[in-house]
Amino acid sequence: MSSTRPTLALLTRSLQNLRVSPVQALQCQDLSTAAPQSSQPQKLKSVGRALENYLRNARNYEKMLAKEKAEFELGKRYLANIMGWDATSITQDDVDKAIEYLFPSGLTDLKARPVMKPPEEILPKFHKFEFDREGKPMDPLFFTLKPKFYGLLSEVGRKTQHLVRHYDAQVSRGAVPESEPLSLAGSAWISDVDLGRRLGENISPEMYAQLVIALDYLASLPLAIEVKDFIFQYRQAVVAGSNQAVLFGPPIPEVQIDPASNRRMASVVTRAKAVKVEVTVRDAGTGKYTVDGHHYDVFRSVMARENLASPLIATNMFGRVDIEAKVLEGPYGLSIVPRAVRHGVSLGIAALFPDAVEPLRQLKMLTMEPRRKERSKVNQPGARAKWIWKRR
Amino acid sequence: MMPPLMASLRSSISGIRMMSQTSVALAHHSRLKPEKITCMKSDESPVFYRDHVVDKLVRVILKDGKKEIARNAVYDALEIIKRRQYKQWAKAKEDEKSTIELNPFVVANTAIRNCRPLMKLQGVTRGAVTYQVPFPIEESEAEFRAMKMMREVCRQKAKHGETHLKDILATELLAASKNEGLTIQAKQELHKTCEANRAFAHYRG
Repeated sequence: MSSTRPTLALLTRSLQNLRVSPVQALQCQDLSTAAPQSSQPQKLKSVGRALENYLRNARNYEKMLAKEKAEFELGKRYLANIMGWDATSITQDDVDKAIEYLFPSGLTDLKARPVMKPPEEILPKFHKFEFDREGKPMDPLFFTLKPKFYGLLSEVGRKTQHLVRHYDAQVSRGAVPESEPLSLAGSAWISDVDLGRRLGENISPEMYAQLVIALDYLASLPLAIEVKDFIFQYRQAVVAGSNQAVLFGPPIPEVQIDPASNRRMASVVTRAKAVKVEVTVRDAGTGKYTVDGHHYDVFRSVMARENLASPLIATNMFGRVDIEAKVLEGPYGLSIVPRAVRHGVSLGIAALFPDAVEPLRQLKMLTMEPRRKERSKVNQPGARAKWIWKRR
Repeated sequence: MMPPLMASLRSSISGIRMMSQTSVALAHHSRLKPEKITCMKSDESPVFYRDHVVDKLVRVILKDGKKEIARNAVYDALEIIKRRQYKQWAKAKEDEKSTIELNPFVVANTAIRNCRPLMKLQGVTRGAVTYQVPFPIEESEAEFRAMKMMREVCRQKAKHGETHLKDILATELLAASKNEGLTIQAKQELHKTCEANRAFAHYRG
């Protein structure tokens, strides 16, 4: 696909464009930015070399982007031809799926895989600043070097001042304004990374801290409800269930109905080290607990039995559920099967009884064991052990 | 269902220190990976007899990864302590009965607490000479050193004829809980050396 060609081609084209003299570049037409329109040499001399370069780069970027966009659209039509789609209605989702099908990649880094996206998303961004005829920046905050961020801070400050004055005016009139306090529950301030991405600027932790202080103060004011929309632009929802998505290992499974006995059941496949187990937990049970068909008494080690019973202890489910565990993959040692089964049982109980999720989560029983056997390295007997070191 | 569940849970895991941590809570909601992936350790299951000091003692005595042997040794030692204390209690007079501690877990806790050193000696090299400098010590490290001293003492005794670790350990724990025995002696010698070397304390840091 033409749009997936590397940026080298773009670079060579840009370099070629740079060889054009500044006057000629400035005289070129299609720039959307406000550039000094006059082509008189006296005006150019006063503009300065840095600004010349900037304007040249801006113009080249525009031309390059237009070209890439045209290539991308053409590429999409080619793709529609290949895949047998209707050329008019192609979504980016379709394009992504088609590329994944046509260029299957086993690369582990997702960013290294082939991609076909609109050029604005992939190519490095070029920030266009508006300048007037004499080369002075239109944005008064240009010289702060981070105009968007300081613009936002100023905005927050203006709103704070307005609210405070409004409140004082009302109080001086004798009518204390009654308004409900702003409820910020279930959301958090936008993170510094997301804010940086949104504003297109690099934000240091100190700057971010200042912004959060300012926003916190604004949100705490009595009349903050008036600027609710502005504040909520910078709040990100923290859904209560979103923590579930962050569980390491298999998520809490869905509850199904066992067709044979018409009871609720939850089934999950987990692993610990190299052992894979499948655990089925059934509601309305008599307390049966089998591992590979045998009762869990066959584990003669006390620690193994402690582990197998610990989800039942933590949630007080003795006698309420039936548990059936099956080892899917070996080889395995005796102490690892109880750990894997314990994880599976915890997830099953958490699925059947949502009240039990909190105690299990506090005991960290819903997380899969992340440790794996470390590989042996060359010139060593094992993973970490070294052979006896001799000075000579 | 919630209140009785939480009450039983609190009582059963009172010995575990990691209550405040959750495996995923420290992650910002925009991060897809949690800060630290932790899961429950196999020897910290929420049984009612869970005790931090006894668990740590098992881990210190552990050798070659044979957890079962270490655990059985320690729990058998606790049983022996209980039997001996009960014999004493049965023989004792009425007014002395209340002074005898029957709970072996309490005895073990007292013993390790009594054996905790207040300072440790660390080698600091200055000009080709390594001085043993006294350093302050944290509570967890003091506990570990107490258990390690006890383990060394038990191994010494085993070399001199006593065979079973459970008997040796039981004797040591009982003696240490009364501030007697070889482990307490070792701790006191360590304190003496620290006192003697206090001139080197300016080599710290």
